[in-house]
Amino acid sequence: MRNPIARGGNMRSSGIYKLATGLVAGTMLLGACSSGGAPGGESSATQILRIGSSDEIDSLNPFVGLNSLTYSTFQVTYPYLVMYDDKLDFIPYFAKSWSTSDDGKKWTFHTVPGAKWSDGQPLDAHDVAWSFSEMVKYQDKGAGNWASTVSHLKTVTATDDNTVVFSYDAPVANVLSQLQQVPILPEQFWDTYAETGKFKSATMTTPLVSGGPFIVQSYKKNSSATLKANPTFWGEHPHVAGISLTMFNDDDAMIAALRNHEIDLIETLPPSGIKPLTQAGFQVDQEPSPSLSDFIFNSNPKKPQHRELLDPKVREAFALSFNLKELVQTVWLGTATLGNSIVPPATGSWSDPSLHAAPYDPAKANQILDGLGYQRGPDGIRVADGHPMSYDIIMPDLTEGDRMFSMVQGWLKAVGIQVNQKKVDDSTAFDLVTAPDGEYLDFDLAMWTWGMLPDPDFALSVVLCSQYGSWSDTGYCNPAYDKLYKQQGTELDTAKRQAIVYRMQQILAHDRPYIFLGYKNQISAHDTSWTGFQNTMYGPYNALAINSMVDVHHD
Amino acid sequence: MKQSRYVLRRVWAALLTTYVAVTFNFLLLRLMPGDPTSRLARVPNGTEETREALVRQFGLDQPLWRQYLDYLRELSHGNLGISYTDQQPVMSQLLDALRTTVPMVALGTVTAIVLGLAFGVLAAWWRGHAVEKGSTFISMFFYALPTQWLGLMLILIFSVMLGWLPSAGMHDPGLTAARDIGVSLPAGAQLRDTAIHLILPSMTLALVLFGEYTLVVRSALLETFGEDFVLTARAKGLRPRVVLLRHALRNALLPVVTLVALSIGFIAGGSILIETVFSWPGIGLLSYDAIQARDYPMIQGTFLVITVSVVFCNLIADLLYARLDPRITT
Repeated sequence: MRNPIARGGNMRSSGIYKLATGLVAGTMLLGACSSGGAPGGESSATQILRIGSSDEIDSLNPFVGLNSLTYSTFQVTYPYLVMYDDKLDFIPYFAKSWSTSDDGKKWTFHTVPGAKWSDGQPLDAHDVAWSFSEMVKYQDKGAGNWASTVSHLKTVTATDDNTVVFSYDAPVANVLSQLQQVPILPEQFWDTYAETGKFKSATMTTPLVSGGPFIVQSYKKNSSATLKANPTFWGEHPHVAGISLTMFNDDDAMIAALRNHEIDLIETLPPSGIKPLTQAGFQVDQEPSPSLSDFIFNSNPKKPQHRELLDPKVREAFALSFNLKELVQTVWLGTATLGNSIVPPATGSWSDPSLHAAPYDPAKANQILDGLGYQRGPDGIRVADGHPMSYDIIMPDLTEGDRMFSMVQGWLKAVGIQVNQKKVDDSTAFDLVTAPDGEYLDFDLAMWTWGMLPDPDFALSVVLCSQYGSWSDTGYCNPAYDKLYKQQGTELDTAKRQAIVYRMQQILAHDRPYIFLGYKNQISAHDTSWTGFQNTMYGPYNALAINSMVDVHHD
Repeated sequence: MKQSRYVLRRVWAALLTTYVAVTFNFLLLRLMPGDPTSRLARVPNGTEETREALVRQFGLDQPLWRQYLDYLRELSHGNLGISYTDQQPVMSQLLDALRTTVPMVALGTVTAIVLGLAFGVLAAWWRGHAVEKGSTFISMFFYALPTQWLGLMLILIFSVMLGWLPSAGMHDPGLTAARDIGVSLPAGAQLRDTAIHLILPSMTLALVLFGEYTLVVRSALLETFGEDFVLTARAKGLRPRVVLLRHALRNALLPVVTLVALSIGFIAGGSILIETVFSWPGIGLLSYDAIQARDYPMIQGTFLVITVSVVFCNLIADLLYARLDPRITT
């Protein structure tokens, strides 16, 4: 999936690992928690939250990792300047407060005094300045993963131990959104690599130096990780003594593990798990998420063949033939919503509420195609400009991809269009979509998914001309749209920026490089003996804030 | 003399096979559609320059012959390279995965061999009887089941319904976390925990594999039962059990040796399906992920391990065969 952060015999029966009950000696654990457990200590010292995930931590190195679970783990192990609250507003984290200059080019942050890293070294504004300066310096090389979060950033200077100033060469509309994503790194560990910028080759030996509520204590690729409560954490201490993360490769096995009380929480549950787990007495939660599925038209105006697919009327006919309500019920068992924007409704006020999915109206679709003179041949397939309307749909590895394809195939057949599935893996799909050599000339149609961020900047960027060969999966290129993108990026007035962002969504809705098939809900499930989870658009274990993992506790 | 010439010939053939396989793997990967840099370069606002920098970093901008020579040179020094995806040495990750895979697949394979021998002997000894039909049916039944589905059914029965065994992973997450955060565990707790977690994946593997052994053992035994020396043994008045075990079975095991050697060779390859269902972080999953990501050094590394392991076990089988049946060296 294309995703920018993409974003504990019966010792198990209670869902809490009862170390103090005699199964194992709990002295070391209690010792560790006497300095690091929740205020008040008590039995909370024995709590280990066991999370199951179908995602994996692909690397513990912040310059290498790309997966959602990786970013969620960074969120609770590194300090960040700000984080999100439950309304997606920014709230203080390592930065207690901040201010902006009138021209929007200078941002000053005041950090928490007296903080320490888990190795006892001071954690202050100098660490912030060092981390961001390195990311700026090596954004074209070893720090490429963070390039987008430091765009227009010129210098970052610590003016004293608790004040850091960010200077930009242009006003940037989403500074806080960018900074919210970036972990502040311990210079004492990373400075070995700073001379060459080869941060990606760092050996991440556990336990890692931490500045967040937890320390990564152990990690096994493709399998598991253990996080231990950080006794030196400068903020509110977590109630649990540790978190165990188990990475599952099979959803059914993960559901079985929750039912068997081997884990306490499934951070992302497939819709098929809702019924059995609800019936078995587990708490299932859902939130709209910024993850969307889409149907793609090659929108490169230079596309040599099947040029009828560039016609907005033909695209409208496709959209009218899709019974998306049925798709939502069949594929996602009702756990998705409909819309018509690249900016998912889950991101709140950035998504234009006036844009709706096209109604299911195959009669009108037929009428449009008839009107264009694309008559049906003897086999029922329409003929456009001398060739049958028969196309390949490139299908990468998608959950429920086969089912989605067969529904789309049936709807299009009803309006005289034949489609064939070209099923490939993600790497091959990217090659086919961009072929030849990043020119987007060969393919006709594709289906894929996106995982978006709370701020609309990234979602709006994936159809820029400059994204050819990179994030673009449509070949769409519209200079007028690109100009608006630049404008929204420097517009500091939220209402004005919102108006530009809406205009951009409307342009895309008209040009229709995508038909949006649905926005999936984020579903999680947990044992009811655990409380304090904060469900978000990325689930309870997320890269938005630390609150969920700090507050969670066993009753 | 003949024997040593035979050995030399086999060793030479094994080395040549390994070289050809290594070369073939190298070329095959580069003929596959998909590009190793496409996923890694797709960071927010990533540009064509981001991608070109990765191409240069991985040496993919060099001509193919140079990449190939570089690969062979590094390989001859025992260097398998650095993984494209996590930038860590391939060798250490392969060794980690092997440590995980080998016990599980070895236990499954050995159990399959034992079951196959038992069912094969029963089927041959009780030929035409209900016992033969029953053992052949059971063997073929499990052999025909999709591995993934069988694994899930075993999880459903033994984990969810009966609650006897853990459903997935190598360790109990709570126990592992307790150890990791510094709790001293009772002696043997971890070993017991690993052993319990081994049972379901190994048994799934054993169940899907043993049918093959049953058929080979059965047919080899039936063939041997018709031999004169078995008739002689019976005519001597030896007890049926002695005829079976000392005379018939020992001779019937010759073709089984090849099959066992092949199976042992594949132990290092792991089992992608079983490792997926049981979230067993072995070499099967490692190679699957590497293929998905077009992580050339990692794919080359995993294929190399599988190649060397299979070729080596075949070599051992050839040499063992020569020892068991000297006629083949002539």
